[in-house]
Amino acid sequence: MDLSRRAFLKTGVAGTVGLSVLGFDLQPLQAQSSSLKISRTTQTRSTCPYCSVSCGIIIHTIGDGAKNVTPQVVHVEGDPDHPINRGTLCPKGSSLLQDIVNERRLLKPQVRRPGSDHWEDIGWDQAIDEIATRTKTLRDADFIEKDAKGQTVNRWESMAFAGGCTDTNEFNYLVVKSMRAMGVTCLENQARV
Amino acid sequence: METSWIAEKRWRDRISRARELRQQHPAAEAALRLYEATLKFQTDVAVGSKTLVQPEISLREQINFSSATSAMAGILSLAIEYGPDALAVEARRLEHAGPESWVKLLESAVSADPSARSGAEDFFGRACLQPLAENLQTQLPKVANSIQATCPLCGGLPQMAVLRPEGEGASRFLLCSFCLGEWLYRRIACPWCGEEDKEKLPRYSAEECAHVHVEACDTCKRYLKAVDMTMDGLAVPLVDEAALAALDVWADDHGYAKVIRNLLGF
Repeated sequence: MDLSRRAFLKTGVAGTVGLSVLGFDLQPLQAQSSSLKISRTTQTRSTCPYCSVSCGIIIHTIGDGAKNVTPQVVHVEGDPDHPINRGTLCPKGSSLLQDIVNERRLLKPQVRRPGSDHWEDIGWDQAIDEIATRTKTLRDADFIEKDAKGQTVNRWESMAFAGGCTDTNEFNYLVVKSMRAMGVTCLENQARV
Repeated sequence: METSWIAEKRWRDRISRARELRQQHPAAEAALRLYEATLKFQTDVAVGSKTLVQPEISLREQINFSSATSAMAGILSLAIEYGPDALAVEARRLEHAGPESWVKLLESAVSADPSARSGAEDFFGRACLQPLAENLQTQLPKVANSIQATCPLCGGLPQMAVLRPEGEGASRFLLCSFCLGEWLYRRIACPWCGEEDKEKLPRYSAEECAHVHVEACDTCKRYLKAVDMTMDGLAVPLVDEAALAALDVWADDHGYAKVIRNLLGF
């Protein structure tokens, strides 16, 4: 049978009024259909952000497509059609939903003081002030302007920065600019994609 | 050739599932009652047919017409006993018309596209032919083909999709309306018009029956129902799809249409 796409005709569910094509009464099915809580999801192909294997994933978002409404991510699965992973995912990839939507996400900065056994809430302004003070103090103490041969190096070796593979390009740009400007040489990001 | 107990078990599982789902979906009780009886009939046709496939000939050309024609009397009387009035009327008409008209009906069911015959004729034809076609199809090597919207083994139209576990995700298989075979077809793409824009390919699902959902295309307004085996591993795709006829009613109300109905006309 040779069927072109034009031949894919459509068929409705009703035969005559109130009855299906074979003659079943549609009323009970209509009633069931009206009672169903139907939600609309969109499936988006994407890439796992974690490592250089760059496995394919499918992200399911729920929403009726209305403008100015952020769709809610409800499920993340491996992409079965992706040639790299064929739907498989490591534990990090499998838990990507938690990466995006997680009740236990920190919503405010916290600090654990030296010798303390617990985390305390701290305000943004205070957190930034404390980090800035420690940064300046440490850099003033350890900054190396010239090495043993007298060459200008402008290095700060007692500071390192560790990013994460889910950091965005925009964030990483700021990291590189700010850290290199201060002389930091130890930068690690884990970004591989 | 598939050992007969495997084929019989497959049909028995379908029958058990139809019986089970009749309790869970009272709105589809009448349809499932007919379907359960039809599955028993189809089991007898399947078990009674032992044709060895010839791989070099097309599947449809190898259908045993005399088996199908002899089976027709059975499906007609079944339709009179279990079917709705309109179907019973058609069955009586065909009984009266006799075997010559049955042969014509079966020839149409094998070779022409479904719009060439009425819903009732489609039911009678496919009920007789599906078990014979499936017996042939199970003897052929599986084809992995993700670009074809029609069955690679018999050219049939897909009546539904099945999502089967693949790693941490699910592969989508289309299920043939004629030979009941499955073939791989990529996710997030409309088999009918080729649309691949995710915004135009909504998935509609109901909390109450989350393992069966509607996969629609807003470009061509066609849809398929899919049974997700990763959500219910005990589902029997053919039967679960048929039981959720309420989703077909919903889709119809929202402007979507199927290209080929399932055996119950939904």
